This record gives sequence, C-alpha cells and structure tokens, in this order.
Amino acid sequence: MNDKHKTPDRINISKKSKNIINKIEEEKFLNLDSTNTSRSLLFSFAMAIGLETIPTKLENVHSGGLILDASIDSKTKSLMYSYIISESKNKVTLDDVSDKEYVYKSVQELANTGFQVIEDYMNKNENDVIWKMLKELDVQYYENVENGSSIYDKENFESPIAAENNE
Amino acid sequence: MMRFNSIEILNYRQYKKLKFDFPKNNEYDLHVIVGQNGMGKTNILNAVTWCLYGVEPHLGDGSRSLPKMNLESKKEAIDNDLDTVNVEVKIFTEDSGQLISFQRKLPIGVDKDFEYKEEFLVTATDIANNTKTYENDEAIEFVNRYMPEKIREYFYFDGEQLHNYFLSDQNAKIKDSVHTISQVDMLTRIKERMGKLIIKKQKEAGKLAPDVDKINKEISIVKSKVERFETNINELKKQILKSENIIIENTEHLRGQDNLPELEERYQVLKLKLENLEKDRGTLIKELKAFIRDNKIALSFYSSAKETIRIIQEKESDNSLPPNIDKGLLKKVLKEHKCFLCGRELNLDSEKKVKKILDQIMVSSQTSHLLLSIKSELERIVIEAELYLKNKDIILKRVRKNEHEIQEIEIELQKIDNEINRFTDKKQIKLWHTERNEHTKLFKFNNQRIGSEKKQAEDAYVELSSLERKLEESMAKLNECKKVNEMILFSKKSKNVIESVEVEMMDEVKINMEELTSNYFDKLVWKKNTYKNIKLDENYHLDLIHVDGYSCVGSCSAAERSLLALSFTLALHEVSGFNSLLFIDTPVARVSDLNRINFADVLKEVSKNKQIIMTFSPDEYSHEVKKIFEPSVSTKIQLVTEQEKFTVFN
Repeated sequence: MNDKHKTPDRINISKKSKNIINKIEEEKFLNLDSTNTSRSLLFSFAMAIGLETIPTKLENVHSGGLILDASIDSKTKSLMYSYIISESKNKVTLDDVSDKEYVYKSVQELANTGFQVIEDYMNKNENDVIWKMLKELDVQYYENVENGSSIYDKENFESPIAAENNE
Repeated sequence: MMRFNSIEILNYRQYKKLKFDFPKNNEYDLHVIVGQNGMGKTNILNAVTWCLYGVEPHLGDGSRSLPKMNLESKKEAIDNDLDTVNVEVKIFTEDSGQLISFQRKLPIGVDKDFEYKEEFLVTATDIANNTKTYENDEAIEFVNRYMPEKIREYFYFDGEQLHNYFLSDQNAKIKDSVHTISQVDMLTRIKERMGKLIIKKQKEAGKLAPDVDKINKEISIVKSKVERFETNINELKKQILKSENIIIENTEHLRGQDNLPELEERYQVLKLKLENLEKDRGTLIKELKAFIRDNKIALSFYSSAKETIRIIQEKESDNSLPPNIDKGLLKKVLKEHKCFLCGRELNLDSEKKVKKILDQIMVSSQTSHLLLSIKSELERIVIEAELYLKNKDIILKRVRKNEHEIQEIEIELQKIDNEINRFTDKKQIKLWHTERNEHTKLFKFNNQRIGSEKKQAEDAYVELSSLERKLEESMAKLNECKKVNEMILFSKKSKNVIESVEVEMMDEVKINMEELTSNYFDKLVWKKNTYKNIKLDENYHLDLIHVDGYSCVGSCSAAERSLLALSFTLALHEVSGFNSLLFIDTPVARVSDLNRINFADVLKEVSKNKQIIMTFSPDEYSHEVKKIFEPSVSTKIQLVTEQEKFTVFN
C-alpha cells in the first residue's frame, strides 16, 4: 500500500471499480476486457467518461492498484496531464504538473466516477449502448470540434482509415 | 372359351380343405373373393399356378419360408401317427362342352417337411362322355395347349404389378408372348435344326476334302465371332432400353421436383457465404467498438488537449520552455553567490544574469520536458477527434453494407428452405436424380459401344459371306462333294424361306396385336379424346401415343397403364386363340379413387365375354367398387380364418 507522503508509483482504483473491471472482463463489454484493451486505455476511457461528471473521492482503495507507473502508456499520460493543465489555476507556471501526487489523485477521482457510469452502461443492452454512444459522440463532435478551429488543414488532410478502406 | 367351374384346395398353405365354386349365374361371368391381408387371397392364385405349372410365382416373403402343407393338417397327421400329408389342388374346367380337370398332388413328410414326387394329372371328358387321362409330360403338353406357361402372366396376374407391365424391361416378355401365340416356335425349331444340319453336312464335306475342312474351320471361328457380336448387341439393346425407360420413369417422378439438387447446392453456397459475412460482421463490430472507445477519449479530451497544445505553443514561442535547466541549482547559486561550475564567487553582473535566467524559466525544466513530450501525442488525439465524422461514415457504411448483405442472404435462404420443404421425400428424389444421371451416362456410353459392335459384326458378316462363297466354290470343284454340296445348298435355301416366313408371321401377329390392343383400349378407356393409338415397335416396346403425337406410356396414370395391360391381355387372348379366363389378384391395388370406379366398370364389361375371377382386400372392395360389382357378380366369397389356423368361407 502506498504511503500518501511518498511519490505515487501506480494508478489506483477503488475496490468498487475493481469489481466493475472484473465484470467488464467477464462480459467483455465494448471489448474493454484485457484481451482487447490495455489497462492504460481502459483508464483513459474511464477518465473520458468521468469528464462529463463530477470526480469522486476514492474510498476503499484496491490494494494492487490498476496500472504501475512504468506501464502507463504515453497517450494516457498525455491525457492525464492535459486534464491537469486545463484545470490548473496557474497556467503560467503550471506548478500542478510537477506535483505527481496531485496529478494522480485528480485523474483517479475522475476515472472513479467514470467507472460507475460504465457500470450503468453495462446494465443496458450493449447494442443500444453502442448506438447511444455514437449519438453522444456526434453531439460532442458538433459542440467541441465543429464549432472550434482545427489544428490541421481539413481540405488536404487524408484520413488514415479512409486510405486503408480505399474510400 | 375355357372357364373354371371350381377349384378344390386340400392341405395347401392356409387352406385345409376348401372348394371354390364359380357358376355363371347371369350375363356377367364375374366372381369376387374378398379377404383381409394374410387370409390367402394371393395363395389362391399360387394354388392355380402351382396346379397347372408347378410354380408359385406370387409368394410373399413370409410364405417362402413355410412348407406348402397346411400346418394344422400337419399337426393332425402327427397326432394321428400319419407319415405324410397330401397337398392337392384340383381345378375343374369346361371348354365348349368338354370337361377338363387338372390335378396336382404332392405328398410331404410331416417329420422334416420332405417333398416326395409330385403327380400331375389331366382328365378330359368330351361331349360324348369319352374320358381320356394324361399324366406328367403329356399332361404338361395338354396344359400348354390351353394356357401356355410362357404367357401364363396374361391369364393369372398380380394386380399390384399390372401398372408396371409396360415399364422397365418387360418388352422381352412381350416379344416372347407374341412368339408363342403366333406359334412361330415350331418354325424357329425347324430353322435351328436346318442350321445344325448344314453344319453337319459341311463337316462331312470337310472330311472328304481337306481344303474344304480348312475353310469350314475358318467359317466356324467367324460364326462364333458373329454370335458373340450379336449377343453383345442384343445385351446392349436391352440395357439401352432399360436406361431409356428409367430415364423416362424418373423424369416423370421428378416432374415438378426436378430442381432439388440445384436448390440444395445453392443453399449450401449461400450458407457458406452467410457464415463468412457473419465472421466479417464480428470483425466489424469489434472495429466499431474500438472506434467508439478511441473517439470517446479523443472527443472528450479534445478541448483540454487543444488548450494544452495552445499553452505549449505559446510557451515555445516566448521561450518559456527552457532546455533542461535545473531551477533549483540556479536558486542555490544565487543564495550562495557562487557558481558551481567554475567555482568563482558571483559578482553583481553575474548575479543579475542568473536572476534574469531564473525569471525567464517560469516553468520548471521537468515540466517543460513533460510538456514537450506530450505535445505530439495530444496533436494526434486532436486530429483523431477532428476526423471523427469522416471515419464514422466509413465504418458505418461498411457495417450497413454487411447487415444488408446478411439480410438479403437470409431472405433467399428462407425462400430456398421453403421450396426444399415442399419436397416430401428428399432422399427418394435424390435417388431418382442420381439414378437418372447414371443411366443418362450409361445410355450414351452403350449407344457408342453398340455402334462399334455393329460395325465389327458387319465386318464379320462380310468375312463370313466371303468364306461361304469360297467354300461353295471349293466344293463345286470337287466331284466327291457334289452331292453333299447340293444338300447344303438346298438346306440353306429352305432355311432362308423358313426365316422369312417366321418374320412374316411374327410381323402379322405384331400388327394384329397392335390393332386389337388399340381397339380394346379405345373401347375401355374413360378419357375418350386423349389417346390416338398404341404402337409395338420392332423391339416389342409397347407405347401409348397421345393425340398430339407424343409418347406417353411413362406419363399416363397407374390406372391407365393397368388398362393398357388389360387391353394387351385381351388382344393376346383373341389373337392367340388361347381364350381362357382371367384371374386377377387385387386388380385395383394401384388404382386410385375415380379410376377405381372406371376400372371396375371395364372389368364388368369384359366379364360379359370372358370369365373373370378377382380377389380383393376389404379396403379395395370399397363402397364404390361394390356398387358396380354387387348387382352383376355371379359369385361372391368372403374368406375368414378358423381360430387363426386356416382359412375358410364366412
């Protein structure tokens, strides 16, 4: 178990989240089980779901944690820190970024709520969830992307998926 | 015309002792015997054929394993210490005032069912009361005068087989029948005798002249060759005809059900396609789920990622992101007024510079390193989010296409399944198909072979003719052979004459049979405007011709085929002069409903001029059939069993 005064060496989850993850393993919900999705990516997904809710404090921490530091992939790390930066009070010094304990605590709380929402999804028909999530993604796209500016030239950019499908 | 007055059966199979009387009580010489299955109806027919010919051609599988003698009689004989039981059948007939009885007796040992010598006796009493008895061979000859064994199937027949008379390979039997009734047998025997005589004389000539002998030997070899080819050709002709009939029969069976194999093949192909599409669907759903997962992440973090990238870009442009400099170290340098690189004390100027650097590096180098490392990853996430719509369209298009294809195939599979389920006996249909295909190949193959055999036979004939000419020439040269040569020539001429008379007589009979069969059929058939005539071709293949000109013996109903068989039989009786009764076991077995009534009407009509004895099961002797027969029937007999041990009258 981590001493809260020491630098964290893993991403932690609550026991409740651990049970939810076990259920995901069993049911292979949205192919989020470990044979199809890395733990890192699962955590990123939980954070993404949690972004639409209020972070909740971790209670009854699962002793083994979810991912060791060394196993957190670069994408997940980027997402963790982008969240911290976007939430940071001081965007000049970005002091929060260097406080690992704070970073890990914040993203853990975000994902904590996210796992509960995933559990709610699992109580519904998976097919219905897929189409519901697609609709939500459409809304997110229109709200966040369509109305924002692009970082690339949409006219000339070629989608790698399109290229793969010879569209 | 010969008719049966009565049949006495003693100790024969189901019959312990029974006498069937068949008096003619009205204008119809019609006699009906009704009994459940197993009562012994068919064994009455067997009793008749056994009595007259010593054969039982209609035994069922159950009877085949049982001895001829009645088991109850056997038991009684054992109880009474008797060694044998006499199985006897007597048939009492009359023909134009002459009374003729046929009696066959067979003693059978009760111990091991051993059959002793049979006795067959025919007793004929003429109008003047003169009686003559014939035994054994003489008796057999007598029977053949009235009801030749070769054509017994046209006097006593099994109604179950009536409709099949002109299918399969029955034409050989028809040819034989015609041969018998035209009494061409005698000519054939003379022809064969002549042939043997010619060979004998040629051998004699051969002994007188070695040259002639040599040629004779060569002729003998070539004749064997010719015989072999002729045998092969006849066999091939039979096989070709058999194949042809099976093809016609099976095509008829498969009418409306022909496409089962194609349907099943298509079904399997579609099933395989469906399996592959369902596999693809699994993959597509997996891809869709990954798409949702990745884009949920990208779109949810889009704003924060963009914000972070903006901040990083800002800091890069105003140099807030330093190289990896330890801020702590600089702070320590200022505190201790000492450079830890060169070891010198800091002067005012240096101190100012360090302070400036420190002020500029607002972000720690660790943070700066982190920011730079996450920038490219965040850019990727942002791009992914921005391509969401395009990528979604692509993947959903593929998913929908797959769903649509699956749906289409499922609909077609259902359609095919419904069609396949129409076929009530798929196994049988497949058998018919396979059989038809096999015989189609065989038909083609045999036709090719027959061509080759015919060619070889032709060549052999030419060789034979040449050798025979050579032989004649050689013999003509030799005086010793002159007399023998004259005899051979005369014999050959006679043989040729006999052959042509034989053919002429057969043809005349064939034409008569064709005409009479047509006439009877035309008179008796219930569909008056459907059939044109009947044809007997050179192979004695009987065909029924539709008014539109096509052959339809394979496609007419079982009742009509039975009627055709009956018409042929009546024609045969008339042409042959063997005008005897008809005994039919279960005449309407293969005939259904309305046609049963029609057929019953026909039989009643025929019985005005010919005795007809028929056996029926109660089901066959239905209300409709009864309605036709009962008012006209001369005798009606009901068979029952006595304590299930033997058959008696009700």
